[in-house]
Amino acid sequence: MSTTTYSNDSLPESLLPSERITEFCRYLRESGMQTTTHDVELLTEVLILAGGAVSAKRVESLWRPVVCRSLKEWRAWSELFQLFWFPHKTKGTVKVTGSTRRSRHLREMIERSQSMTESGPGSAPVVGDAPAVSDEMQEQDQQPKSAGGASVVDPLDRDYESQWMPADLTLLERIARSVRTQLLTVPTRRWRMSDRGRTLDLRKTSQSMIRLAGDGLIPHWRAHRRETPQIVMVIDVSRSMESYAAFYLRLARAFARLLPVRVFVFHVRYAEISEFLRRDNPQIQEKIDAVTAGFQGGTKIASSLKSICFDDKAVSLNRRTRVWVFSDGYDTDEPTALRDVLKRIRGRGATIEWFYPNKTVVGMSRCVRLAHDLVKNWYSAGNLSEIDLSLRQLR
Amino acid sequence: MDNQLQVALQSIRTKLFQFDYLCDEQLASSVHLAIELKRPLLLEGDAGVGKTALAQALAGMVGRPLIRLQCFEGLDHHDAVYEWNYGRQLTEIRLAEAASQRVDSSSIYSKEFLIQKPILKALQESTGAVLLIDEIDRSDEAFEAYLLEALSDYQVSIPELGTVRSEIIPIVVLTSNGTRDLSDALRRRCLYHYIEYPDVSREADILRLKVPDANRRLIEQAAQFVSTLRKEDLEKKPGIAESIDWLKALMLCGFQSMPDDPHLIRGSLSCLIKTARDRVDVNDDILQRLLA
Repeated sequence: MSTTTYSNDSLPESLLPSERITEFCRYLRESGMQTTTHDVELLTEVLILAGGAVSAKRVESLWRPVVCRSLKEWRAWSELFQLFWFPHKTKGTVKVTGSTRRSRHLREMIERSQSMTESGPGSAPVVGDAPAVSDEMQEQDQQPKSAGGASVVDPLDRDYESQWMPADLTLLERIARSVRTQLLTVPTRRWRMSDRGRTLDLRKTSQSMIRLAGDGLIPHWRAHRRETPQIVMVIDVSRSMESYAAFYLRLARAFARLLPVRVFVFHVRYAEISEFLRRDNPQIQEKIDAVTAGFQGGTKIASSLKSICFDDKAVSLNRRTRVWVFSDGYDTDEPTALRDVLKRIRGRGATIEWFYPNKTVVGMSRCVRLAHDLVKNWYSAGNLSEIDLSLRQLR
Repeated sequence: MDNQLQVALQSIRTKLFQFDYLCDEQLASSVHLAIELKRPLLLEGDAGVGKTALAQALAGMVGRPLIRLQCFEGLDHHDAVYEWNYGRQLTEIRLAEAASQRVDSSSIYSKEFLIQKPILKALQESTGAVLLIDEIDRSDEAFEAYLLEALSDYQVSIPELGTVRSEIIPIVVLTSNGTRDLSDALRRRCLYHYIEYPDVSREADILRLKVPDANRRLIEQAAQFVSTLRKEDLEKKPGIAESIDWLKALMLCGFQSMPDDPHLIRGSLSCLIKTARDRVDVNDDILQRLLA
């Protein structure tokens, strides 16, 4: 490598070779890429293969397939390469917005968080940088809730606003991934061929006997096909849940990317947003913003659950279905309506689990207290660490 | 020295072009490294961006046979690597018994009775091969783990025979549509390339190459239309294969250039739009905007 020379606009000579490449790999690792010591060897080998005097642009394109292992890394590569080898060429930008007051619109929150992230780690949002809460709401929160609505406490112990776009979902995806592994897969009636199966597939085994002219047989084994439970996430986006809805939507997005999940949002009406959450398109922000717009009061949990589970386009409820309700339990339906609808859901074999931002279940509304025994598990989900802890308990 | 590399990359692009594949410089670099470093190339990208087509063109370029393994759920080494020909083995035993001879198990479990499946075939190919492991994300994780030995050491272990090593290392191309996460172990063993949708000019070049009879203006307009359509919020974005089909459909309808009236092209849009919801979402207003 000592014979390697670089042409104009090539990597600075003083920076080469292997020590600097090692540093570069360390920098990539610190930036979230999974480089190993073997990659240092590979990058060096690529340089030797290229013949030495190659332009930086060429090195960039040659190293890219070697170092990158996912779309996220592929997209981040050029910027990271430039930042490390040509830091002097990197220009800073300043963004000024006309608004001094925080909006509660999801899109603007995302833009704000992205601009904060772009401006560097030093200016990252402070801990507990929650979505804006109107003055009116803050005043209201000084008073006790009559129907068990969530008090506006800071739902966050970490920055989550930057956890929206696919490339930024790492933290929440980690939670979703661990849930995927820990959820017990349910055996279905269908069979699949499996060498580790314990049931003999008589048809295939007899066919093998014919193939061998009756002189022997090749045992074929089968096992029940196991499938991950179908999860139905029902997220309350009413006014009393304003501080938590955006957080739950992000969580839903992470789940939707990894698990078979159907996601619904509701206040006095409901809408399904599963498809929006699976798409990597900036326009989905607008669509979800439109769906959740208003954050209206007068939540109808029972009516919404009834429509979601039993009306047209309803979810199919069976013993593989797990209905996860994310709500503070503030309901303007008849107090017994929730109990009735949960009973019907349970009647179809589905499991109901409730994630609440409140401090305790005891303090929740009357309708929730009436339906308490129909919910299999109650999980505290007031902030990211609580939800992480709660989801670890899922079985 | 940069020139030598430039020549090598240009040569790859030219040769792939001869096999009807338009390749950009980054992809040429990835292919060059896959050949020179003898490492598998993992291609990711949306359906219809040309992942499989690259492997086919690559086989033509290097003059090696293309051996294809289509992955599916439940795929195991019997389908992918090897299987013993039990029928022939039994016949051999019967014949030996009839001749009152003793059957040696080593003679029964020899290469003569081995049915080679794609991976073993690619490793054993005397002239070398291009092995395409298509849609690896559809296979089970257990099979993915089984592949690790084959992809890192270019060898497979057959208990009855021992380890079979490749004499001429095949060029391995894996494709994935990203329906599930591949393991880090597999990714680490591969070079990675993500194929994006082409930009308008490149797509026009591809259309020109694939449908040479089409009117030049129609090609440019079609490429522009499809490119803009991809920016819409669609469930299933049209790939290059869909663009080619659509252009052919437009030609069949007798268009020499794109019409202004959206109703005239609505019928042919089934080549581009493949889901019911997208069909509803792309209404006349959107079509009018796209045509404009």
